[in-house]
Amino acid sequence: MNDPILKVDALEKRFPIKKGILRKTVGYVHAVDGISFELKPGESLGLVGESGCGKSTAVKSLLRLIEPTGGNIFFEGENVTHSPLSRLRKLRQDLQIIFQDPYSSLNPRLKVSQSIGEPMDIFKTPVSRQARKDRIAELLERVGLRPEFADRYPHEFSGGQRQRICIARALALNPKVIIGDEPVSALDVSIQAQVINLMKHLQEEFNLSYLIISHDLAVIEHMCDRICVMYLGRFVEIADDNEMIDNPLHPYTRALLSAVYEPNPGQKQNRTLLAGDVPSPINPPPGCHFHTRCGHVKEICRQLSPPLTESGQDHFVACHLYNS
Amino acid sequence: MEPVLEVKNLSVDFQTFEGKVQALDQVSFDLYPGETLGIVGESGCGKSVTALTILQLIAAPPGRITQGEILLEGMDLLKLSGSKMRSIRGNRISMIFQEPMTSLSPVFTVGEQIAEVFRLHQGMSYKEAASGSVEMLARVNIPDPVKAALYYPHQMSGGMRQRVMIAMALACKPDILIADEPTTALDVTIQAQIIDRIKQLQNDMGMSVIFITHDLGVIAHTADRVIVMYVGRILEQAFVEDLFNTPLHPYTRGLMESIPHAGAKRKGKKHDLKEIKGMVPSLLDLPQGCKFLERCSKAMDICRQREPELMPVAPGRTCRCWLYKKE
Ligand SMILES: Nc1ncnc2c1ncn2[C@@H]1O[C@H](COP(=O)(O)OP(=O)(O)OP(=O)(O)O)[C@@H](O)[C@H]1O
Ligand SMILES: Nc1ncnc2c1ncn2[C@@H]1O[C@H](COP(=O)(O)OP(=O)(O)OP(=O)(O)O)[C@@H](O)[C@H]1O
Ligand SMILES: [Mg+2]
Ligand SMILES: [Mg+2]
Repeated sequence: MNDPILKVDALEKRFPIKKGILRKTVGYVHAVDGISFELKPGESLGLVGESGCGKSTAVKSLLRLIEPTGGNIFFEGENVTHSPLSRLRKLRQDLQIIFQDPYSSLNPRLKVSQSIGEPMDIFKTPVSRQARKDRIAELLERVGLRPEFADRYPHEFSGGQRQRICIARALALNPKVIIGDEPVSALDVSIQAQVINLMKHLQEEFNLSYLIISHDLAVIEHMCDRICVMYLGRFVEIADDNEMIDNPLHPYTRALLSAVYEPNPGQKQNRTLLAGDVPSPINPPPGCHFHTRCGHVKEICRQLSPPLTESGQDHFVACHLYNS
Repeated sequence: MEPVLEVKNLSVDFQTFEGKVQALDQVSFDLYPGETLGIVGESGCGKSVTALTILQLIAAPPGRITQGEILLEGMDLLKLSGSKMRSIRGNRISMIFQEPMTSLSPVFTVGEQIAEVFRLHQGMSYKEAASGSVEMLARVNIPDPVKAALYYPHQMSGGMRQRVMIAMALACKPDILIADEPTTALDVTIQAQIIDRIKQLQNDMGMSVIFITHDLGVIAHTADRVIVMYVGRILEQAFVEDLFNTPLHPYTRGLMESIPHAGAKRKGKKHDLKEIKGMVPSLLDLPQGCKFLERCSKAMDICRQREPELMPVAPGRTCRCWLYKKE
């Protein structure tokens, strides 16, 4: 039972940069630079990191919506890194993705019933028209919408309602894993809580595994059991949620935590302000990617990339400070 | 102390294809010297329209100011001529926008753009203005400001561009800085840098700041007083500690309870977040009576019949809710 449902090993994605009329490759964007993790059944894994660190590229390549340039992906023990399209199609029934923007991820010309029914039609699940209709009504109810919404178009709904429609569509084929790429970031504060609660209830009900991406640490901490912190294409720290908040080890994780503004005016927060900007993934700095902004930088950090090593129980960190 | 800015009963309409929407309905507030006034509220509640109206940057049509006064040290800005208003914008009141790329010109270097502000408002020579712009870039912590002054905006990261915007806005030491979601498009670690910078410059220059955001966490650590807006209205107005310690309006309370806190889960493992049910009503189709009625767990008969006024409930504190009506 504790075998991972999804396992990613040294996943890498580089985008070539082409120049000139001959479209010669002059360099690479190192978007995802060798990340590894396991997702257990029923677990929620969170991926947190700042804009451009490679979160979306990581999930797109593990779903093979774009082809990874290195590493391996295992689903229920099977290596699917090079599986043919026919196998991928079956795989994508089990692995569903919800995107950030509920406005652009629904086709404006399709009725809600068509959007939700689309995956069922592609994979030919329920046969009769009545069964299809019943299933759509059931899914709408599950995400807290009225069944009669099935005949309406996306523009008739608010952002939160559209995100619910996307969730209903993701559930249509009884997936095992749902990947949420910033699933609540585009929603208003008073609507975010509704969608977060809904996703958590559905997870319990259907024993789903979640991989949730967000730049918002509070959202990740609330939704997830285990957190991966990503910086410039690499994981710098992995730990259980409470452990990560109480005992962050990597200087980047610490800075990220101290940059959170708690909704509590009395509480004086000691911020570790990071100097400078995130370097470009086109020419990432040698050694540890974080060394250009780190307050604890040593000579070795400029030369050698620290491996992710276990530094407490189930607590992994990639930092030379902890490598003695 | 006299307020530096008084906004009184400001109402703004927009003519849209679907009909007329009232984006602001009798918004009133004061801004005192040296303080930071926070404006929070969800998307579309009228935060940016408030800011743009103060500077008279609302496109008219479709926009129209239907009533109100905006008094800068007693002088009504709505009665000023276009050229008088231009001499106030960027000089006595300046603004930082959410997306710096849309407000910086792509064809001039950032140094030239800051220098232009100096020349326009302070009549400096080219040489003075150029050294002034390098000095401003240094004040907003841009590394190697002499070189950075020669960059075009697209050569800079989002965080750098936002710092350039701040440099431009503060070049003439304005009395009032309006910051409209200045960090929303930025990463959290960059957000912390920018907010820290704005605060320090405010301390140095003693200006007043109107800080607009939808992020309650950010407001808690930047504002002295806070206005909570909902569908074009002020629902509650209070000192920051009072607002967070004892939110009064059911909407404010709901907002406070619905945000996830990092580390809060430990106390009550895996609890649900509190939700505000329903959704924000459309400006085209507002309910009778209180506009929060349909989402409120405390709704009474009177709430359906009449919209409450913004009533004083404690010293320095107002709230638009029948629950706090004193007989
Ligand atoms: N198709 C592409 N071609 C070239 N570069 C790309 C492509 N897609 C992404 N990148 C680059 O890869 C890096 C990682 O991008 P990605 O979208 O995965 O980041 P992210 O962590 O999801 O950021 P955000 O929080 O902004 O969504 C970025 O530098 C981006 O510019
Ligand atoms: N030029 C315009 N034409 C028509 N309607 C407008 C225009 N500008 C603003 N509005 C309307 O006025 C209302 C208030 O908009 P405003 O931009 O002030 O919202 P906001 O509180 O700043 O939201 P956000 O958090 O999304 O920036 C919205 O309903 C908006 O649709
Ligand atoms: Mg992304
Ligand atoms: Mg706005």
